[in-house]
Amino acid sequence: MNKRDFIAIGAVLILSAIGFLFFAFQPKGGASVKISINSDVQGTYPLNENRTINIKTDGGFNTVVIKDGSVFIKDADCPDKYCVKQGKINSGSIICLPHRMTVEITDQQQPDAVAR
Amino acid sequence: MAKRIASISVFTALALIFSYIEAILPFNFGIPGVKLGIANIVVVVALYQLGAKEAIGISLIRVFIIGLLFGNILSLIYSLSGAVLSLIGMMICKHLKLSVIGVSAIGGVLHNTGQLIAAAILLQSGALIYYFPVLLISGLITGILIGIVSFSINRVLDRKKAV
Amino acid sequence: MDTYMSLTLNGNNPENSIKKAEAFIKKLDRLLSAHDKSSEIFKLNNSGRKSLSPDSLSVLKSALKYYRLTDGAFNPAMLPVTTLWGFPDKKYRVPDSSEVLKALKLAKPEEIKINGSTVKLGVIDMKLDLGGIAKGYASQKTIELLKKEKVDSALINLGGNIQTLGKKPDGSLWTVAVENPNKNSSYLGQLKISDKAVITSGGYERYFKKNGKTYHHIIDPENGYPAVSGLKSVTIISDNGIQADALSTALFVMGREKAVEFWKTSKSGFDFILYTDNGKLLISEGIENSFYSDLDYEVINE
Repeated sequence: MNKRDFIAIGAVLILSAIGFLFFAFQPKGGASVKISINSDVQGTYPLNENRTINIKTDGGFNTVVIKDGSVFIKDADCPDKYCVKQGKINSGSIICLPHRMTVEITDQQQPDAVAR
Repeated sequence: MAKRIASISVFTALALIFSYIEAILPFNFGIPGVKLGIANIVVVVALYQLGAKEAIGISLIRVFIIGLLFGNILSLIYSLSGAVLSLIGMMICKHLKLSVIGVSAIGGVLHNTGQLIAAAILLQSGALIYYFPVLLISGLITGILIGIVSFSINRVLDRKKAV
Repeated sequence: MDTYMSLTLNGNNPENSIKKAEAFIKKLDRLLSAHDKSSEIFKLNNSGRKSLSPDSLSVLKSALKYYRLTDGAFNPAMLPVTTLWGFPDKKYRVPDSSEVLKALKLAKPEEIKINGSTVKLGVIDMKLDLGGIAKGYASQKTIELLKKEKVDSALINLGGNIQTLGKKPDGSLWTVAVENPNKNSSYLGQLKISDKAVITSGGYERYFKKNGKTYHHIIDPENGYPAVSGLKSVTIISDNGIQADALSTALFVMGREKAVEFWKTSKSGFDFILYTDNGKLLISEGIENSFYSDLDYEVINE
């Protein structure tokens, strides 16, 4: 290994450190869970209310569970099941590439009231 | 010429076998998209032992055959984007006189970056950006590991050539 | 008001103000319920003639005003018809067309005579149901009461009918989401508002199914059947809760074209969010800058 190697590796490390810091300071409070297929929003749900959402696409199904301030994919029929393996998150996102589904935690504010 | 074709074939076959091993025995880190990518050892070694054109050929053939055997159009697109970006990056780094380990590290990082960009375009979603730092680090680590292995292999092969 | 209520407010003496507001809303509920045997409206419906208290009279007058303004799309005398369908007591059934026609003949608010505080229902067996305006009236009058109490920030939620006073205690605007009829927990969008009522009407709120057909609770006063207007829900945003409540029902009955036309001609300072059966979202230009949605929507200009 030479000096240039260390410069290259160092550059990648700095870049990812900046990335981690950037996301660490993203606001998390009052968060919502946004579920999209491709880029179409299927629904936005408060992160602090427990519920189960069944998402059906042409590709198959994903069972999204919001529980105690975290969200996870309980079950899915995609081949790799990465989305299920990823486990619980309370920031960032879960992606199911085969079904083109994204479950994203956003800082969209919870409404003060819902007109119905 | 015949020796060259034979070498390329052996390298390609080896890359396919490594991909196959990884397909049936995935080293899963629990993060989508993060895997060891041992087939890249073959590509990195090919880049040094055979040359850039040959490495590109081996890599593309591997991606297409594995895509056809084990994947679908989607996974093919991801692998292809990763492979192409990684190859371009590695060629540039080699040109810039980085060592095998540095070249392979950048290759690993760009492999993940290429897949992430492809996924972001396909999903039309910026949500994936949260993975970027994780994928940078994981690409770096797997790239360095593969670089170390490739370094050892290159040393053995270079010694044999010299003899 | 067979539903929940919630009050959030900020003032000099919040506990006292909440108590007063709550007592006031409960009082209105007792006066106006068409189903509570001790209510003024129930008694009026039974006897056809009664002297009403100022609040009941005021609600009735408002109801009649919107009956005229909406050309009958809002009708406060539809109780005989909705009863046929079983909506008040949840004993749902599909009535014969002859029954509907007969009941519809009783729904003639223009035959109501008001003399001082005495109200006479001009058609025998005519029955009022002020449910379509009572909640809006209650929130409007409660806001007025709270203003007198020097409360500067409040949100009243009467079973999903929202009315706000001022801004939030921290000085930011209130965020009121509008329910998406298709999915129980996702929103059509969110409104950033102050000093506004936001009231939604939609067939999705209450309905029953019979032989594969769905019958919802908003009956078209024109024909006595659940309104088939191409709309899934109508939300009215207005300074005045009474107007918002009455017009949300009326515009739902009118359907998209008539509703937009009504908005253009009335110029009475309200805005709307229409959600159509085929998933289109239309909003009026007045809320363009305070409405946020993940869905595509069209802005209607005057």
